[in-house]
Amino acid sequence: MAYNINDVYNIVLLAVGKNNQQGYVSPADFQNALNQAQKSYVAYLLGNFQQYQPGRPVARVEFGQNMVIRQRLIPIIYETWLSIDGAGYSPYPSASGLVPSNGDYLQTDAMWSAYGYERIREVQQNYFYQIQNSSIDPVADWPVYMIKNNGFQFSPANLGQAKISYVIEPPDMIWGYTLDGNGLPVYNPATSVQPVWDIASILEIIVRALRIIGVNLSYNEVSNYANQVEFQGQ
Amino acid sequence: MQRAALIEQILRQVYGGYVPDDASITPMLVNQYIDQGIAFAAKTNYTDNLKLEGISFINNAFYITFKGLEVVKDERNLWKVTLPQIPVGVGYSEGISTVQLKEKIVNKTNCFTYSVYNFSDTLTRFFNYTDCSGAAQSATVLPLATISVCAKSYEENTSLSITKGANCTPALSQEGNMNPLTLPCIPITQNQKTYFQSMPHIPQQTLYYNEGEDVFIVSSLKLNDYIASVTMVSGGNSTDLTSTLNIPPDYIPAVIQYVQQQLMIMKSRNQDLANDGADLQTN
Repeated sequence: MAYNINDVYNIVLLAVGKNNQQGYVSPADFQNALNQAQKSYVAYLLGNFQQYQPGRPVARVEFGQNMVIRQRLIPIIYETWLSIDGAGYSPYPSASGLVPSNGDYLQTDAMWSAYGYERIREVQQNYFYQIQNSSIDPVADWPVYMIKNNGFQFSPANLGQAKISYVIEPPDMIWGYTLDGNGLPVYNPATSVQPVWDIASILEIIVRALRIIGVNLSYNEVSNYANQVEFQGQ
Repeated sequence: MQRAALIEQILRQVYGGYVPDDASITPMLVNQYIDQGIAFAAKTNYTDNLKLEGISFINNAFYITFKGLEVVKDERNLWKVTLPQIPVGVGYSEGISTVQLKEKIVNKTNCFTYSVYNFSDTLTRFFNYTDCSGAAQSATVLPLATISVCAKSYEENTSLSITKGANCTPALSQEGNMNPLTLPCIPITQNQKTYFQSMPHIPQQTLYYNEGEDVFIVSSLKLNDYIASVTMVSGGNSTDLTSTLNIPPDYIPAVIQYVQQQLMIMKSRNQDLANDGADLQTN
């Protein structure tokens, strides 16, 4: 069963709370650390380019390597139709109507033509001249797209539609609360935003959050614990 | 084997499994190499036969007949047929084995162009007519629109303004053309071309030579009422990936080996991954 945000908060408090003088993490700090941690986790699954080697631009862990990585990311992979205007341009899609808080486009997974699952290739701007003028793969038959600052530029321009599978920014998690008679926060599921992750992912995110909290609290034991879990497994 | 199937097989071998959607080796690139690979296989077959049989020839399975090729006038007493591709250059005429001619089907019926105007500004009308093959047809004429139809006869319609125009030529289908083929034309080389006209004419024979993708037929007859059937070494229709690949199965490995070699050269080259305005160093 997937963890809700309260379970996650309790685990974090448990990990840092052995020394109660040092270990309190406020809801706001918890949210900041956890949302930062989930961004870090998504970046890790998409591939850290710091790990590239000369002539081999592949990270140790990278999106698309196998089904396991895709399975971890699947809560933030969405599919939709793109409407392409007469100039061949389409803005980035957004899943903000489908997920609470965030849901913006992050990265393309795959792009297909409107008719069947014919691929539409991504080309980088510095290769575009050659592909646009290719006589072996004319773009009229083998369409391509470029990534621009706020959308996609397709060629040929008259495609009309395309289908995209894409990764979104994960929804920011919120531990919603109300204050009790003593002024202490009490968990309120109605105002909370739950994590979208399965248990394998949420534990990865928790240890990343713990490392941030450990640094914040100058609490080496928490940081060491987080490092141990991250590099040696749970 | 379907052309697309061989392309997929080669791509999977090159990529060590399923091909990702960001693959730079595209099906059409492989398709282009396959055409070159077929020529290579035909040449291999030619030399294999010479070694094994002592006679140089290309196996029948490499040949395909293209029918219905248009014959157009090029010069006086010279007619040109454009081939679907340049023939392979093995031997002096092994690339093209046979060139034959056949009379076109010419529809002798009187067909005329009819200009049909619908003067109603609200109602769509229908123009019923008999086409040149004798089949009944009905064309839609939108309000205040004019259409042009090639027809043999038509049904009177007072709602339409119909004007008869000039004779029109119906589309000539080569399907079902059972006119007999002529005797095969005789090939001559470029060397023979330089002196054959100074020699006595070969009775009842038509000569031809090929240059690039064109076949030139030497004849004083009016050949533009004919179509040509040309049998030549070809892998089939390279623009249709669903077409059957015309290679004997024992020579498919030769094609695959050739294509793989070319693609592996491409994959093993260093790529210029830096967009820095400097070209890749090649030494």
